Amino acid sequence: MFAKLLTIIIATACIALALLALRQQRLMVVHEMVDTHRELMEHRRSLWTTRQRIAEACRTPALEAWLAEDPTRWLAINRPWTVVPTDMQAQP
Amino acid sequence: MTRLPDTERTWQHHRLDSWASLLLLAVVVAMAVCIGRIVQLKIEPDQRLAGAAGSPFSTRIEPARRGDLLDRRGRIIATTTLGHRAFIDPVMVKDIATIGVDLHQLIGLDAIAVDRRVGPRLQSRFVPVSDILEPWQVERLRRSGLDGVGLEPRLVRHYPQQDTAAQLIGAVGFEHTGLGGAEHILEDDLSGSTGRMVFLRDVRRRPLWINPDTFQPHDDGEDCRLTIDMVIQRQVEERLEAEILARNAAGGRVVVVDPITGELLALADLVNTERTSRDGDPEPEPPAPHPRLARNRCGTDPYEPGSTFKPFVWAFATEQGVVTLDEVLPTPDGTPHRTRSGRRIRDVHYYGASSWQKVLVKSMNSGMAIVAERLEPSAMQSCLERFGFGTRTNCGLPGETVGLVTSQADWTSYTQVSVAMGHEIGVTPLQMVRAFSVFASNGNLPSLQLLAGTGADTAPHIEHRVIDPAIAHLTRTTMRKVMTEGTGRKCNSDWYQLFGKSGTAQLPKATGGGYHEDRYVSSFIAGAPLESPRLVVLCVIEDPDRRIGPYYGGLVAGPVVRDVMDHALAYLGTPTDIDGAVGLPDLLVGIQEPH
Repeated sequence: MFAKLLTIIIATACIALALLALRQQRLMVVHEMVDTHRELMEHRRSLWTTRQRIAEACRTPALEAWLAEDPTRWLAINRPWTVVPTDMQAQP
Repeated sequence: MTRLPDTERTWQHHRLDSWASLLLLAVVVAMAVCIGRIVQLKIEPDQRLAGAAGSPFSTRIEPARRGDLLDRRGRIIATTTLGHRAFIDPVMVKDIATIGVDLHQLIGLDAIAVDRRVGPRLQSRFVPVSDILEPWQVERLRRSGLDGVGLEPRLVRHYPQQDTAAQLIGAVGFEHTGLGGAEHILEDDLSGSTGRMVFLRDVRRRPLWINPDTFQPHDDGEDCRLTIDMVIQRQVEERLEAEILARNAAGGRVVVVDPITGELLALADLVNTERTSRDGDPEPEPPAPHPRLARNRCGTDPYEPGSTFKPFVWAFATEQGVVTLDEVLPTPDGTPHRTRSGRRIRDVHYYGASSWQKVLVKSMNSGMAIVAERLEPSAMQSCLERFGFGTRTNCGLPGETVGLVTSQADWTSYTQVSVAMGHEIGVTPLQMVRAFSVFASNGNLPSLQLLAGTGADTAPHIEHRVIDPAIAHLTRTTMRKVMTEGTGRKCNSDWYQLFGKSGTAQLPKATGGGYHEDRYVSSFIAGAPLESPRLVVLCVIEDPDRRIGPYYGGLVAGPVVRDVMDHALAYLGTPTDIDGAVGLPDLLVGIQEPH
């Protein structure tokens, strides 16, 4: 009888442990999921900021000021062939 | 080996069974007690515990991003980022007396302002103490671990193009909803719906379980593309501002439109706030709380178009057959013309008997009056209606008005003649460019658009045909002569064949009762290139100062139209249509291209 009782208690304990382990796993998964979601949101927000900074940098007065600093920059955009080394230019 | 007697063995078995039963009973009772306690904690916990535990659920709000506003080439006009502002929970602050100084030392907030905000609200759990913080302030505050100080995320709207097209774009309010301009009219498309996630948390506030039924993902707003081109818009505003300041004018408006598609490329409206006040000036309007919240007068405020209105009546009368191109009209050679009702019609210059074509080229009021009297009043009213005067363009600009057109009941012979010269009628700049586009688009009245179409929706929207394509072409070539022989001579382009018409109308008195004798509204409207027009530009300069220069439309508004047209057409890659023209206008201001 004692052996039977002991077996029942050990089995119950094992089942309880297994259930606890499963529960813990589930918690970890939920936790990871929420963490990933939070990270995604963070990345999304940093993308917004990057987008805004690019827009600020690309507005016409900013580009004009950048080009005015060094006139050859405009030449490189407007007539790029004039700044390509001669040996790299296409042969006629 | 001795064996226990049977009675002894039986007694031992009994004793074991009793202990086992007792043990089992103890385990069952202990488990029942535990389960009972759990149920009690869950269902009806002790008052002290319930207060400490609070709700086991947390809610996380995911703000939806407001869509971007883009110009026709995808440049960002308005965009949204996430910012933070600091708040204080006075209940959680350890030393409320020094919190202002702490925040001043940490992130540079005004200590006195913080104390003023927190002082009267010591029992509140949320007291905002800053505007949107800089990233370095947010970082410092996060690292500080100050008790009772938190960061509230808030959506922040940015306008990278700064004040260019400010009234047109509008602004958003504290709740990130559109208050004016495109931000307001596109509110439904731009705004999204906020996401929400409810989760069961543990004692450390870590999520234990998310109920799928309560998870609501955020839905970002859509990006909206306007037809405006920010490069053209900026150049238009700079040019218009320079002219207004140089002429000490009250203000000015410029509209640039693609006559084929009806797309509005630029809408500028400037008021000269530095102008010295003159006698008879109306009471200045109270300024808008922000330039972005001011109205755009291009669609709201009508003006008297003067001679820029003549081409519409000229083309209509020609199509109706009441006059032919080469017919010589009895226009006066030195004294004002008298209408049938005896009204005196003055011209700026008297040319004697002139052809119908010359009437438009030289902008002769007498010639227009003679032909207007040949038209029935109903025909003249039909002309206005067909060119779209008296009806909104419905391009999407908020607060657009219909202008001022005399009703049939009040229409007199005086009106008939006045309207032919562009008087006794009020039009908005939007109505003017739409009507003038008829000449550039083979007689079709385009539907003006402020919101760029997508996919199959990009086809031109035509409202209806107004005049025959041949008449439209004839009017264009006649208006080309305005630029070479008429009032547009001084503002002709070196690169493109413009066709246009100037207008100089007297300024109505703000108090009513007629017009100022020496104050004018100078305007000019033109299209180009002549054979395949790509743009129509209208400029209206209000009350240029006669003491410092000319006031005629061809001399004040004309150069603005020419410069805007040259720049915009070159920017759009339109080749020059003038033989022998050298190069194209400079697109970049202040940059010398090296040779």
